[in-house]
Amino acid sequence: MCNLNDSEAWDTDKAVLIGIGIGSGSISSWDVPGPWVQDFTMGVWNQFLEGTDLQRKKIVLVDSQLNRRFIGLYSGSSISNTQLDELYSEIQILIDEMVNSLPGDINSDGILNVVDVVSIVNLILAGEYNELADINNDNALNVTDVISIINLILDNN
Amino acid sequence: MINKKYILLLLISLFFSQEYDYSYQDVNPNSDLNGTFIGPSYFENKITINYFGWEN
Repeated sequence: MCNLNDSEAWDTDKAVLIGIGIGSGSISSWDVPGPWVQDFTMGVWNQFLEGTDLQRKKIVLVDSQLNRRFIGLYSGSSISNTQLDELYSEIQILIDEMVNSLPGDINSDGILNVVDVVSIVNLILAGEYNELADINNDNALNVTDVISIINLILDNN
Repeated sequence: MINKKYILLLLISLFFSQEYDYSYQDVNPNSDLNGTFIGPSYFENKITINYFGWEN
């Protein structure tokens, strides 16, 4: 996978490459200085690829709000230049979305909807803070932010 | 009426909620994070490029 070992291909401050093996998978071909983990239970495989019987040669992009946003398929032992271009393009799209996010657009997909409500609720339950989720700018996340984003969604509709 | 809308939206939200995450130990000896348990949520405010590397 040396053709993914290009630190200039994307902004590494905003996107990180992680290799996922399957227990019996070897790290020997992972000639990248980034993380490599082993999914012994195949739990990640099942969740991210929706079934172990599916083709496994895939790259899944997950945004900063833990949403699966893109699945790229490759063949052989490396990724073709065309596939690389598509992957880099998708990474850049996600980075641009992060940079240009709207208030309340927690998943940075450019629209306010129920997914953003979920994200705010999850942040509140986890006791975490996200500036985009702080709709009323009081430096705290609570039910008022949930009500505010729902009002924004209802107003837009 | 509006309260019913809030409740309905929240219920729908919770029903469809799914996070793509894991926490596994980095076993790459060449990685700065070797030995650390990592996953998408470890890299806060970053996109993760998850490469599934089992090759037949």
